[in-house]
Amino acid sequence: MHIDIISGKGGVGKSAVAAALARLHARRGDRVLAIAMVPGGGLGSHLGLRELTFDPQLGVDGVRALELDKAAALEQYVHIYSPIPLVAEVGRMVRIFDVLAEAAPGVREIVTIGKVAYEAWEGPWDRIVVDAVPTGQLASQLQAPDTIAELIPTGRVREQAARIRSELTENSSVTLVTLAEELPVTETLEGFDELEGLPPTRTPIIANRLVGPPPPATDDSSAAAAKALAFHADIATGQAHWLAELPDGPRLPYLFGTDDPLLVSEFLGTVLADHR
Amino acid sequence: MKVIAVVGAGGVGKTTVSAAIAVDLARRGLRTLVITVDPAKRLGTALGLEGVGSEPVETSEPDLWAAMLDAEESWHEVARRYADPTVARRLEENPFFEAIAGRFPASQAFAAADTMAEHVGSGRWEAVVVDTPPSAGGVEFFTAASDITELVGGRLIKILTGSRVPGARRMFVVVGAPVLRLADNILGGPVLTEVADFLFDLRTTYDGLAERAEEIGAILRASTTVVVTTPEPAPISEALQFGEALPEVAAAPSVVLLNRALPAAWADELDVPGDDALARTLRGWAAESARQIRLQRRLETELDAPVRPVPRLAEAPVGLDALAQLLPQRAVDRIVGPS
Repeated sequence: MHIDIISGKGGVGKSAVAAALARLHARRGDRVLAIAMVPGGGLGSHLGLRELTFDPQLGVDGVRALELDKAAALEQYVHIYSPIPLVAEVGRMVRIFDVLAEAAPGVREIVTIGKVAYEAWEGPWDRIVVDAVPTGQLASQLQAPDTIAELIPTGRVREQAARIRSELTENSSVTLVTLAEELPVTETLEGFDELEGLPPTRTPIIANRLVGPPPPATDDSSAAAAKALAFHADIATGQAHWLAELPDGPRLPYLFGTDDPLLVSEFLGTVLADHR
Repeated sequence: MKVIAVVGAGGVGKTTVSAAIAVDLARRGLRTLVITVDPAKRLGTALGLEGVGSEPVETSEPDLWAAMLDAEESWHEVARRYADPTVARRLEENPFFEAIAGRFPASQAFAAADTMAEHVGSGRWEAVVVDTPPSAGGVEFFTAASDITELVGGRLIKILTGSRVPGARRMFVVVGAPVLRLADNILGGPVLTEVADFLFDLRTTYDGLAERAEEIGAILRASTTVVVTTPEPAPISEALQFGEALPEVAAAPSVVLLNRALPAAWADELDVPGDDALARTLRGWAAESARQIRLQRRLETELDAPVRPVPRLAEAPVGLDALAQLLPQRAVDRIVGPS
């Protein structure tokens, strides 16, 4: 069992990369669960699913996928850990948790990351791929077990937090995705440093949407073609500059004009296959 | 008085676009403030400034000022402004205050809206441009004030006591405590009880907050909303979600800026025959340009607002003049009116 946590600054193609990895491992025979940590993102479309729900659904290549609905996650959490046998009381408890978890540091996060750990323990999966929150918020998610340990002296949640922490320490890795541009690279490198010392192992940063050097223009190239090639060269030069700031890692190509999210995840999976 | 709210997913260039709009307004002679949520260095770089704090700082552009948000400071303001001094002190001394101030889901969005209202009401500015905090769905900035008012003002107390009337602490302790003890049994330790205590104190800020929420709502309904997106899937879906939710909370978007767009003419001009690397590359750009044209139509239909492409530059604009030239005139006219 391994948990792959995929993160990155917003809009760098995290969901596509997460879906590509899920499909890649599923094709190799793993039972794979893909989890969207933020509802309403693109993970479902990259797996051929119109909408994700809190219950896993079957997508392409046999990948199952769900999204974390925070109300549903909270309800499940309270159901599992509530000492109260009465269903009616559980409903009341969920409402209280819903309000207070917004304020109690670490509680909301432990419910979220707790669902991932719960699937790791209870589910039939060989691999869980998490399309995680943006890098800026990831550290607080991963620190939740420690936050809880600091604030809460004893009790079920604390025990739970310790168990989640050891699950993450033993069986998870985090991969950041970035574009080869100034802000994404700077923030990704900062984010990479911030993750040091947190439970998941860090794997090499993935650079996405690289155009590569343009082919040379020919004498009969049109004015528009010359302009496009100059533009292409400018982008390639800029990307090469920012790539040099990154440590070695997978490099993914820019997919010109591709509308179909399934094609994107399939193609990126074939590139990533060389790295896994 | 012009108020312009710039919304969109993270990473689409909101900060840069906000700065560009602000430079334009300032160059039209309006005393302009741009409020950003991002680390100082980003706006700093764009505006040619070294550091920007929560207090407005004058930029090298005449009439243009810049300020940064401080979510934590905003919560201290809430405590001091809306609670009586004893309660305010107790709130600020609560061990949870710092943690809560920084992590209420709508905290940053509320700080942005509150800071905006503060500056709009100050009479110091002729134009205020707000670079809103990125958030899922994008409407958080518009709903934060009423969300927080609702949270502070009754939902909790209603659940705990069955009454909306803010009563004495005694009532809260008597009725609420058994339920909280059960909840704490799950959590372990007196955490929820302490948090509930804190929220109960926060409850006394309700009237002040409710008034502020009204004020913020009125400003937003009269403001100009600019949606920024790039042609990538994640920002697009956020922009579309925003379009669905917006009519309920603010003015419909005046314009959608499709940032980092390719020239539309490339769709035809670069659609060349041939099987060599050059032809394939050019057709790649043609296909990408065609995809963006389809996308532009879709945005126009679904958001019911004009879409204006902002050309993709090889390098991010640096300096005020580059910023001033970033937005096409047709986009600027939609935002600030014809000059």
